[in-house]
Amino acid sequence: MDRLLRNPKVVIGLAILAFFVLVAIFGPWLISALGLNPRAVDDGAIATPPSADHWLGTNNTGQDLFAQLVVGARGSVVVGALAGTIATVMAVAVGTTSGYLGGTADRTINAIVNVLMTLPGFALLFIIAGYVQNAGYILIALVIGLLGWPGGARSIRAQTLSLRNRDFTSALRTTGESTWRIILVEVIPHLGGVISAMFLSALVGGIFAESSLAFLGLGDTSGITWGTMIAQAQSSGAILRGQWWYFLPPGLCIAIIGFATALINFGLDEITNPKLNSSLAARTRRFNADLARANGRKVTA
Amino acid sequence: MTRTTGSGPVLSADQLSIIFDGKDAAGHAVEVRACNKVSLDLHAGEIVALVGESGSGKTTLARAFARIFAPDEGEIRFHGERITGRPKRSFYRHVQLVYQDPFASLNSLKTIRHILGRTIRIHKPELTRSEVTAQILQLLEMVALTPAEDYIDRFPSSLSGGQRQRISIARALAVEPDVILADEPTSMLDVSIRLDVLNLLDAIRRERGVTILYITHDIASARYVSDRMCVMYSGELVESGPTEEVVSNPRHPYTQLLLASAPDPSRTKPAEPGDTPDVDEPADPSQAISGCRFNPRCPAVMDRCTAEKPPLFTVGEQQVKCWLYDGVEAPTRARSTDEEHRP
Repeated sequence: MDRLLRNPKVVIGLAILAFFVLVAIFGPWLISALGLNPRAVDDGAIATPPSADHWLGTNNTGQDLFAQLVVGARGSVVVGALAGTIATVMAVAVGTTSGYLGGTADRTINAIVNVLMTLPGFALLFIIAGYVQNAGYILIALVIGLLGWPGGARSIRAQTLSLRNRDFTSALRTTGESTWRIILVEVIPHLGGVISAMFLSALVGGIFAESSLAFLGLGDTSGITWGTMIAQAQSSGAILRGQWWYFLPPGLCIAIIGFATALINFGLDEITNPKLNSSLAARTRRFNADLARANGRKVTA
Repeated sequence: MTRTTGSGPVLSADQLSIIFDGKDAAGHAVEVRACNKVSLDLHAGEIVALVGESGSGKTTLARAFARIFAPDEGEIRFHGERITGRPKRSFYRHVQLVYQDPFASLNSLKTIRHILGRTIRIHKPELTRSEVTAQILQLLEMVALTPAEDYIDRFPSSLSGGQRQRISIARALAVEPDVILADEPTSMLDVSIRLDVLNLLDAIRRERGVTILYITHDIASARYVSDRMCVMYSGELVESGPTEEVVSNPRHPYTQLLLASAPDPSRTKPAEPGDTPDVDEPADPSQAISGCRFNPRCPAVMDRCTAEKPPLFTVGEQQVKCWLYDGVEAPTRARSTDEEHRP
């Protein structure tokens, strides 16, 4: 944990994520406290660029885009977090069970996972979202989460297989420990790094999938999320007219969350694999250079 | 301590075979007999050393005793009762395995308190938290990790190999077992601390009357700690008897080879070629050898050895599986060795 918080990449990534989570939780209150309403129409300001009245400008119907951006964070972050959680929990549950039990259970589960992995996830999501008219974002998150776990389950299974063959799990079996306690209490903590990386990429995947659906007009069209904002910007021709304030902020927010999770994952990689540690590598290079210089001087002297 | 004071063995293997699927040198599927019709009795309060080179099947035998492998032939009996099909948890209440590698056998993410506490709680769920802590401290003191309070909340990563092996011995002791199966408990440790662990095992036997199966390839340590010695070669038990008898008067050519190839500190000059018998590669357990499995390496090989598998002959206090002792000192055939011939 200490090493986690000493790694600048992890700290920056976590800070960014924490910021967006806070916005998602408190954003709507903040907006009403500021006296803004994301759905209120300002007839005097249609599609205006950022100004003192409207910090991020307005859209084609005169709605305040700053208010929409802040309120929209909740939808996007909730979809991401919920989808990420569902996908990760499923992956861990299925992967550890399959890997630890082995034998027939493993073969059966693996066959199912292989079939699910061949399903084109987004296309299926597309069909389900289109079939369920006006799906709420909780449903969207459920669908994204339930389609997102098979890949993760496979890598968790592989890790569990190697842990199962280590002496410490055998030692636990010969003390009479139950299978479920070995999996939950003893094996899963060893998978912490893999699980957190998986959760973060599933979270971003969820946000991306929600935005993509909304952009295609298949999300919760009545709700406000970053995806619906971009979709409206596109449909009202904001991109053609160069109304950058309309589509850039929500797009940037999505990109920044992706960037933050990538940073955390890189940081975790550095912690678990010292070869990737950039500051350590720089120090080693400097040391080697100094050594070479010292040796060179000795040779010339 | 739940000990039945009978004369019978506490734990015994009866004509036990463990068979793995393997491949021979040509890549054909064969059955590998890691243990082949091994009979071994462990009596209350004794330390039995099981010696043999790598691949001789000694670890497999220990793991069969610990019910990690199910017997393919024969039986394992606990106080005379068959254990196949019996619940494992109550069996582990009486029989515990100490693993070879103390760096691998403890969960690196758990504290000593968790590792020992769980074992106590599994078998004595009625204890309160403070009673469990008291028992953990007592166990740590027993294995000489003192002051125990300093060790209880540490992680295995902050302990040395010897200390970790003490923790795994403490874990085995936590259930107050009747039998401890110690699978090369000193082989991963520094030479300087091996003696401590051996003395600890001896103290456990003396103070608690625990039966110990001590598995090793180090004859010197086996001699130091054990009452009885069994020698395994290529999945078979080739010689057994009181330790001093086996060491000072080895009967089986393999035991003689094993003893001669152990370094002897009293020998000052380097061994001349010919001083030690030819040390050949051990027999591959997947290889089919007719007759005695030691015959390709045996210096005293006879025609009979390649033709027929020897039964166990009793010579003095020792039992030897070698044709050299046929007719010596009125051989009594060991029980049910008639099926010894391989198909």
